[in-house]
Amino acid sequence: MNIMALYNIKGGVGKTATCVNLSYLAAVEGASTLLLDLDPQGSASFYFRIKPSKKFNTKKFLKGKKKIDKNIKGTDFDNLDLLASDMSYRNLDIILNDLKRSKKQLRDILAPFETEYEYIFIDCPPNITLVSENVFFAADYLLVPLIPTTLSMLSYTKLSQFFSNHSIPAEKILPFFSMVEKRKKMHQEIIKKYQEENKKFLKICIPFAADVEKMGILRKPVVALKTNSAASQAYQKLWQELKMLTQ
Amino acid sequence: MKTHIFTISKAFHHQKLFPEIGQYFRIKNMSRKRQSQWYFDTFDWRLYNNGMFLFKEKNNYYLNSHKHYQNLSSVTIIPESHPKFWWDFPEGPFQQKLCNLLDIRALILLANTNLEISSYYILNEDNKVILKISCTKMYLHQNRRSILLNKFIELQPIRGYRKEYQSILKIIKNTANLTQAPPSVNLIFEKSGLIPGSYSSKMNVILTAEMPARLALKKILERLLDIMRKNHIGVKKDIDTEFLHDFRVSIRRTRSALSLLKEVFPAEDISYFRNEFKTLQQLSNRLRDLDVYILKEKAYREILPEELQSGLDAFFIDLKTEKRLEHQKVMRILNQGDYKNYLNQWEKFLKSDTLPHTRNSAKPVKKIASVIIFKRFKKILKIGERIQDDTPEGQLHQLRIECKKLRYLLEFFQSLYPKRSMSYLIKHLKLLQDKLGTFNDLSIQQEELKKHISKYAKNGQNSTLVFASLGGLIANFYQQQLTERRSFRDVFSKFKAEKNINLYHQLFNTVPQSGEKS
Repeated sequence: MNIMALYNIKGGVGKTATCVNLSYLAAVEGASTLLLDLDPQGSASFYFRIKPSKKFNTKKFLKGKKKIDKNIKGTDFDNLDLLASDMSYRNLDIILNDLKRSKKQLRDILAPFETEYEYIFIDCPPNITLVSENVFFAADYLLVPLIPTTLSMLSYTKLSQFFSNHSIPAEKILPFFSMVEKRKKMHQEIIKKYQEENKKFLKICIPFAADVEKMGILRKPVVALKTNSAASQAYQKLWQELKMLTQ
Repeated sequence: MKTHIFTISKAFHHQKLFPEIGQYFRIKNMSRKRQSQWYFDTFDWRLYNNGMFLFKEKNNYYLNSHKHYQNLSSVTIIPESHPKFWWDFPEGPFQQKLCNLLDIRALILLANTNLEISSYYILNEDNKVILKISCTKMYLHQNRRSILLNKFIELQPIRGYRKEYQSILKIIKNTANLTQAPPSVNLIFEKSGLIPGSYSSKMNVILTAEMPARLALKKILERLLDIMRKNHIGVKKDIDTEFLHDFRVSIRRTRSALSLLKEVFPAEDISYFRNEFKTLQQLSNRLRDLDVYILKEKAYREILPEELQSGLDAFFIDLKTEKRLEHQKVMRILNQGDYKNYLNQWEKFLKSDTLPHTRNSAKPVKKIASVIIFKRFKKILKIGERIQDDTPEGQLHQLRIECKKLRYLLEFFQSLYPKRSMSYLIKHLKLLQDKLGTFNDLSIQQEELKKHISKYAKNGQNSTLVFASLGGLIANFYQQQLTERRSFRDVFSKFKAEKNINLYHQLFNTVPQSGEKS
């Protein structure tokens, strides 16, 4: 089992879009895949038209395996399941705080799914709380989409510092550029600078594309809708690069 | 999630399902496609007899269980090719499974079906797919015609939407007459004019103790004639080596039956037929030998160190060329009128009821069978006892022939005696036969290799690699033979174990033993 989390302190950086498309690509290749939507906004769940059942909430989630099993739903695509997020997740960090092993809870919750899923993709809420820390411990890889702007890069530096301060292996972090606009000179310069200076940055960049924004209307991964669009191509290449790095 | 397959009646049109479902859910028409499937098995139904079937769809091969159509293993072959033996499939679990099932038999195409599949998605109020349905019409394609075999629907529930699935299933069950069973693969075979499991090279002749010997022998010989004829086509097409093998074994069994059961038929008739069968068998001796060598090609190469292996290329090219010629020769004979007339003549003889009575023709078969089985058994004990580490090879050869005769007799008359005892005896005899067979094979193989060495020397072959590789094999076979020889007494002592001997006495000894009073 490979756990990959899509994470950034900032919102609106293409986290959910990447999570949705990468999990779809893994499933298409035949790997049994779970998308875990941890963001109370529930955008990933929305893209797949899945609502959490009325009885599902944070407490049920923290009870683990059995309760989660009951609430995992199949998406429209073979091999791809999803655990929808619930609005009550907004209090997840407060509840976690009262538990023992408060930073390792998510890891324990996901462990029983080892045999069932080859990949678990986590769509994380955009903040840095106890929930994020749980993700840092549970995930094998933390995929960090970054818009090539100065402030965005600052958030990346902060994240790296946080990892080293808390002795979490920094190798887990895999940053890549997202929502890249070709005609913006600053974007190109930042990408060039970081990819040259820091070999950790993935080679593939995801372009800013109207097709990705339309996912909200059409409610399907762009890779499934328009296989040949620039964005789809980029996601496919990103997935190939990731597989090379993580296998 | 697991899919559920239901068979629906041929008269039912699947479109009738949708108005009712449509009252509660949205139905999305997804696709309509056609697909062809090709079904395979060996001539002796090895997959069917193991509860399995194999079919090809596009580039994919699927091995399924009869039970619930469950897939056991599958493989994709790129680029498309037409594998015939297990070793033609790519290495992996699929190949391994087939290896165990098929052994050296070839896959034969048995049937071709065409599927018409219409797929639908059932959606909830969010337009989320909650169930995938596909409706399939299966046609059998035969002689350029298609006949509708059956219709089935496949439901693929989506995790987390069980309630919706249950309610749709209820609607479908109310509308259509469903049988919770996948389409039977037997139906495909039967409609193709095949009877699954119908061919076996085993004797399977049912006799009764009091049956007149002639009638019993006729039954045995008719069964053997049937096996001969059934294997013709495979011998001619050289589908795999087992056709010729089964063909030859049934001739040898026929000859054995005729020589061992004396005076059941008039002697002069029998001597004519025996001669003819002998000639017929001899015609394919060489072809069978060549088949065996060629089957062993891989094993031969693996005996040698890698640098010597290519030395065998010339040897195998020679064998394969010779095989083509021998095969043509055998084919010519099988196609000849003489041969066909001969078999018809034989059949007519077996069916004739005007033959004069002979000394044993009316005697109860069990009595005769017991006497000759026991006689063979005693002879084997006698020869076997004499064999020491330095006994000439000829005696081992003689013992092998005697064992073969006994084995045939046990198989011919199996139905006259308790099943378990007979299985026990055959199993133990087989152990001894295997030993003697291996020994004999090693002998013949060395001769063959030596023959080729002389030939190459004469023809001025100057590759030392060729001579080295053949020599290497001879040395190896010689050593193996010595080992086999040393272990002969062990195997033989198991054969003459008390339990085995007692069983022979108990079943077949019709003469009271000395010291006993009747």
